[in-house]
Amino acid sequence: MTAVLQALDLTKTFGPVKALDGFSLEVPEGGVFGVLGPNGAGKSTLFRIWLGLVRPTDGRALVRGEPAGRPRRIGSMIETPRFPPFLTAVQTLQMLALAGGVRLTDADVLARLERVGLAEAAQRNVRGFSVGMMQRLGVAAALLGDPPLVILDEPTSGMDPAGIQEMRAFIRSLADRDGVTVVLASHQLAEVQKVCDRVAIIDRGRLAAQGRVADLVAGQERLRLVATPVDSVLEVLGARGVRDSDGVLAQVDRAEAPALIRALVERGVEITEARWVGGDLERVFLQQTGDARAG
Amino acid sequence: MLADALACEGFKLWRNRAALFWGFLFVPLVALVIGVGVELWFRGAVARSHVIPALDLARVMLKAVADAGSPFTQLFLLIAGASVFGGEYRWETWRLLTPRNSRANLLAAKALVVAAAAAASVALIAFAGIAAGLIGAVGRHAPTVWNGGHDFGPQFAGLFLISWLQVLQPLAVGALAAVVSRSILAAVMTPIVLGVVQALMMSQLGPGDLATPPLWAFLALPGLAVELLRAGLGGAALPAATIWSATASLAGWVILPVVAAGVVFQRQDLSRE
Repeated sequence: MTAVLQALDLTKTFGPVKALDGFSLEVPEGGVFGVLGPNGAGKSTLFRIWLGLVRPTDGRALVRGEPAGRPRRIGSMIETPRFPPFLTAVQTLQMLALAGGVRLTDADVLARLERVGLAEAAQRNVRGFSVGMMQRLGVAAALLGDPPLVILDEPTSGMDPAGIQEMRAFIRSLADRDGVTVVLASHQLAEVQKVCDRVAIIDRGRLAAQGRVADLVAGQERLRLVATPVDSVLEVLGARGVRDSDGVLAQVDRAEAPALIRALVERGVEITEARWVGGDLERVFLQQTGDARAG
Repeated sequence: MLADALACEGFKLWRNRAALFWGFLFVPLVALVIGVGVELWFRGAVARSHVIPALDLARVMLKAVADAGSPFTQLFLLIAGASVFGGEYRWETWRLLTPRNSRANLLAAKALVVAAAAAASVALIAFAGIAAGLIGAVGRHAPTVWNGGHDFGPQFAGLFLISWLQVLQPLAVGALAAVVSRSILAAVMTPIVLGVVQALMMSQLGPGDLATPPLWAFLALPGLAVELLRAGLGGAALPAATIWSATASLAGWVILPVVAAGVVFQRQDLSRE
């Protein structure tokens, strides 16, 4: 698996604040990679180091095996993007394309604005743009030059639910249709779970967890059974079962579930409800960041 | 590439109409209006005295280009320069630009675009002065004469270069202030305060100091260098060493702050712009 981005024992301090503390991570090529963490965890600092906006205090940051900081074909949007207020959306993309030596026709620019849902605002001055529109323009700007790697920091921040859904589909299509490696940071954990293939969780500048989303959430799932008598269920489950209000939470694999339910029915247990709970990234996130705080 | 950064900066400045007008066009317009006004007043005075002096076009051109780098011009150019050098910090747009081109190219492009616009502005101011003189001459039916002599061309070019460097000097200091402070206001105020201090220091120089300035004066007072170079072009007998020192002083005050800004910018964390 080729790593497109690497952080090798990265440390970054801002005065007394340690934004990254011996942080190491490898982002593989392809798919959508999510970087999660509470506010101030170091996500934006990590992105800024990879983009050469910030120099690490210690450690190394590599982009495709080369030191970060040299202008190269990486699309990026860091936090809520801002633009020179006197430019229109079209002019903004034209200006940024010129800076990167990308030659675009007017039709190219309009097509890019249309793809992010800004076609009607193409000739409007960005001064009057909402945060959501700025985000869309930021994403269009990040994709100028068709980079193979795109870093997006909070791409859905300030968007309405429909916009978030649209952006999620757009990001997924970038990875699936265009083969772009997308690295994104977000606080919208449900969204991250839907759009990302792999995630890393940062807490207080350190890597708390990483892996495939499916693997991370798999171990967190519990089978919740509402059944009577409850004692019989707990007896069958042993240490793997705990009482939860009117039901029982069972720590079993999905493959084991049919056999468990069959065994319970054979023992005369009446099952009124059986469903999987807790298999979400939010639980993993809170566990990782909460555990770190408790520790 | 530098060409890409230049294209981007030029594109941006051309569309920043406020900076373009107030910074680079306002002073030429004012120069034209005031020049025509003075000429019209002069016309009235001439009508009363019944003497119509001839217009020496060469003298008018030399005076117009020599006056083009006035503090008034410098002030308005500073505003535009501050907008260019400090704009990315104010709009938080360095994060969009630095991943697309090298920092050295991006800052050099700003410096070159501002220098080119300042040259255009100085040329327009000179043109406005000449135009006002001609309009006045036509208005009072004055004959036009040419007493330029064989050295008019080099003299005109030299005065233009001095006026250009004169306006670039505070702009260069403003560029450094913008990068170090990340503030547009500092980019305007720092060169103004420095200029006032330098003017006060210059006023303390005695006649002897002006004839053979001490080293510290060359190092600290680019305004003195401007005066000496203009005097030299005007025919004053100055030692060659003085001319060279003045040239080095003025060039240094233009180049070194920009280089220093580049060094600071190259290592600057853009964790916030």
